[in-house]
Amino acid sequence: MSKGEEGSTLYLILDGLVAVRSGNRVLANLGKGNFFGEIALFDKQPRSADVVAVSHTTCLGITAASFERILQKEPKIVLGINRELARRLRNANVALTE
Amino acid sequence: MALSLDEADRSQIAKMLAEVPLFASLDNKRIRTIASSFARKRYYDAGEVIEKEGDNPVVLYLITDGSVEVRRGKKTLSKLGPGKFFGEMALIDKQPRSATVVAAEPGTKCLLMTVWSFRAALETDPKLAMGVMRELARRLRQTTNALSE
Repeated sequence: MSKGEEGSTLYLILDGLVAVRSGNRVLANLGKGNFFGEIALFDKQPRSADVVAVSHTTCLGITAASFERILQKEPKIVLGINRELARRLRNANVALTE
Repeated sequence: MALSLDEADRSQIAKMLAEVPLFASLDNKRIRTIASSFARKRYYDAGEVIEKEGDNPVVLYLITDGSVEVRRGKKTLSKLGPGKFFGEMALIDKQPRSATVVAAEPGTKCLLMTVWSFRAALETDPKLAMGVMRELARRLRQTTNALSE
């Protein structure tokens, strides 16, 4: 996934490891069970960062429409997503002030 | 000192919540329920510390008057005014406060919701939880942009 691209697919990492990057800076490393691509899916703006596979990685792509259906059926998963977003925001704030 | 809310506060909250993007998708009944979950109000002087980085989280804040600055070390991360809320991150991930929040103007007024009420509201209200999700994603994009500058 490249920064600035259009796209609304959410990716779930089934196996492997990815790096979320902006320029030369690594913003996060995400592994099995984690997700990425949610920012552009929610705000419908271009991708906010690059995502690069660090090892052999398998991802499941979920379209915006499927994601909406999943949320309607299982609204509780939002609570888990919120915890993960709060964790990332906390890390980003720390990186910003280092 | 935290004060009890009066009728004027209650109607101000409901009106304000209806205009906050986070709550705007909820119907009037839900907004009134959430408004009633704000149990206390507090006034702050300019420069007064409202929350300190590293403290254990107890409440969520909604600003009704004045403004606040969110800081880490000497760096100001954001400025927030009336209708904005803060303190939600530590309530969501159950970690200590991630930043210090200081009142930026005399007479800054905040309404307080306890951690228990906030978590209960998120669990019973999928729309509210989704609003929080969108707001967190929006802030994450902002910090990602700031990090790349």
